[in-house]
Amino acid sequence: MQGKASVVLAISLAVCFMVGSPLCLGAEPIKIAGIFALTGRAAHIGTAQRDAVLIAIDEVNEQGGINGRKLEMVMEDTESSPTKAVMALKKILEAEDVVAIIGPTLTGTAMAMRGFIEQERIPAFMHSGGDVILKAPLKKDDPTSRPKWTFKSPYKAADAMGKICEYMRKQGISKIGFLYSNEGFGKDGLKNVKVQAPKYGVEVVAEEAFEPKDVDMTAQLTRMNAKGVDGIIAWTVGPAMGIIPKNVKQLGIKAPLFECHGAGDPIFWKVAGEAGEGVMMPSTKIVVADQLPDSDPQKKKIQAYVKAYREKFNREPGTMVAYGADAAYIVVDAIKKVGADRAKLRDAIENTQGYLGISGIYNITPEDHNGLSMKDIVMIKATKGGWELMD
Amino acid sequence: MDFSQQIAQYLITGLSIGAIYAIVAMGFNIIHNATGIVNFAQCEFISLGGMSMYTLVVLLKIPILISFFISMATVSLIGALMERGPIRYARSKEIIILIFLTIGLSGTLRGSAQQIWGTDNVGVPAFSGEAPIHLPVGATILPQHIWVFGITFLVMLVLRHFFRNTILGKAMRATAVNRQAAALVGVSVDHMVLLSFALSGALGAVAGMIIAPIATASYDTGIMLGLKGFAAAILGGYGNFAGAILGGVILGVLESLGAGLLSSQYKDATAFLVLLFVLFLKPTGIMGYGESERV
Repeated sequence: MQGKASVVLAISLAVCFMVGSPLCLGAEPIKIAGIFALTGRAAHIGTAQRDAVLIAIDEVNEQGGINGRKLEMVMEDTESSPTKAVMALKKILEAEDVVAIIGPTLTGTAMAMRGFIEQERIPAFMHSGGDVILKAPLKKDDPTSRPKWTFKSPYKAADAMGKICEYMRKQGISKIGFLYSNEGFGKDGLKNVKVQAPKYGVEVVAEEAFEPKDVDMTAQLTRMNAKGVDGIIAWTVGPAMGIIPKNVKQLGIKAPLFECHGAGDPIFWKVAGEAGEGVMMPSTKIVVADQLPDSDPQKKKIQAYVKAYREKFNREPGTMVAYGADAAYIVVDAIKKVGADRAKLRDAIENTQGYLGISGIYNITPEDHNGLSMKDIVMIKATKGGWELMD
Repeated sequence: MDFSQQIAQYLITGLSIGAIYAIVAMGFNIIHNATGIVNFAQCEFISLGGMSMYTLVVLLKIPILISFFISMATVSLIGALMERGPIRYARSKEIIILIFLTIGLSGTLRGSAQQIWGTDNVGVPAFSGEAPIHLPVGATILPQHIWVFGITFLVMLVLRHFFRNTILGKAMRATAVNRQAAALVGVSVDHMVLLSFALSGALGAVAGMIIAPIATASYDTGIMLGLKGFAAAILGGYGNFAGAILGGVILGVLESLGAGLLSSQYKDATAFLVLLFVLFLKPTGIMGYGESERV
């Protein structure tokens, strides 16, 4: 009788050690907060980024976790709204013991969350396109105050804008119109284009805004076209990405259309349809992985990741998947190095050097909490339902 | 492109956006005319119309004309079920309670739509091609816009005739004015309310379907359009169908002219400022008769 019991005990102990069950070992999982735009107008980006992060977390857990502790993502939805984003953040911080935050998706939500994140002293790796989240002063009375705990994985919008302007100069485009959505990301783009365009000898002759949920931008485009622009940049994510090319075609505008670095996503074709043909945009290399030259150091890594993504989710990754993946991998690497301590984690992330990621090669410094450069960006063109590598 | 051509384009753009607001506004009016309540789930009828069109045309490859009527019937059924269930069995028939009920139903419908279709915006093919039509005034327009104009105008004529000249329509209006009195003279109040929800469901679906090729569709496209359509209904005179068209067109043209001539950053502000001003001068809306009509 007693012998039987001890055998059972021995087996169960062995099983516990084999699977490294946190329950048996008393090892709590390491919790990371994932705050994404899972619904609302940026839902297609938020859900893709969530999936990208999940791939990284599953990968770590399949390898046995970090020091026997599993990684767990506690997820909240910002509903693409700054107010809801702050509520989600507060909820997570009060209810869960998280060591880092990944997300949010939109610049507006990131700006709303930033202050609380700095107060709470928790490292946050954001996916937001706008540079204001790193550049804007934290305190109104101190213009040099910069966030210490906030990082972002997408390359700087300024660099994306620079890439477009550089490409425009190569194409001989010199007078452009800038069409932007009237919220955080769009306004950030407007600031950037005013700085970047002159550097490449491109002049912004028209600036027009629209509301993110507007159904028609022909009025703005008509006004722009009347000013004789020979190139148009549309800075927005969401349904407007598809409505603008349709409006451009309707008005018969000949000037080539460029969109932002968030447009290189399967959703672009869903909303734009045939009108999307020929629209150009800066992008991460993930959507044109197979077209990259073999000399590109990222090519193999990106191809492997794309394969894993396709197998797991049975769909094509868009340009923003890369940002989700890199934010997750960098945070995970930092936890592996220094453990689950918020302050140490922050320092480790800030010292990420030469990290070969999906979006590019990250060299994060105290001055640059992003670490990518213009070299990591490619120009692509929407062609026949897919993407063509241009430059 | 000279200045007159620009103005022509702004007007055409404004008219085509305005027609969309107008058809949405008419959906609000139907239920108001039969029950006196504001149905906030009207926004969801629009989204559902667009998404069911996407499902039928893009995913199931059913011809557009057939899909159009299937979607209309489906959303109309959803509207009817809404009335048959929560609205009818609400313990209080206070208008304000029923209005809150529609807000709740709106959330439920939107949540369900999100579960079914996900959150992506999707495109729907235009009814008759996407080749732009060049108008003699120098403006361009899409064939889909002509559909929007035509259908909106037709719906307005039919509804106007229905509510003014048919027994059924008059019975519906009577129900809104005074349920008890209507029941006393032999109007089947329950049926009228049911019919109004089914009708507005169908109309919401039509709005969603005709604009999906222009504006794309998603589980929540109806919200913004619903808001603008509601504003158009108020501007034109709540409950009045010709007023809905007028309100929609004024709102659309103001937005477009505001964006083209003043500032695109403040185009909504320009439009709503005018809305405020009109309501200040004439609180019942441009073509509204006010409470006196209902006595």
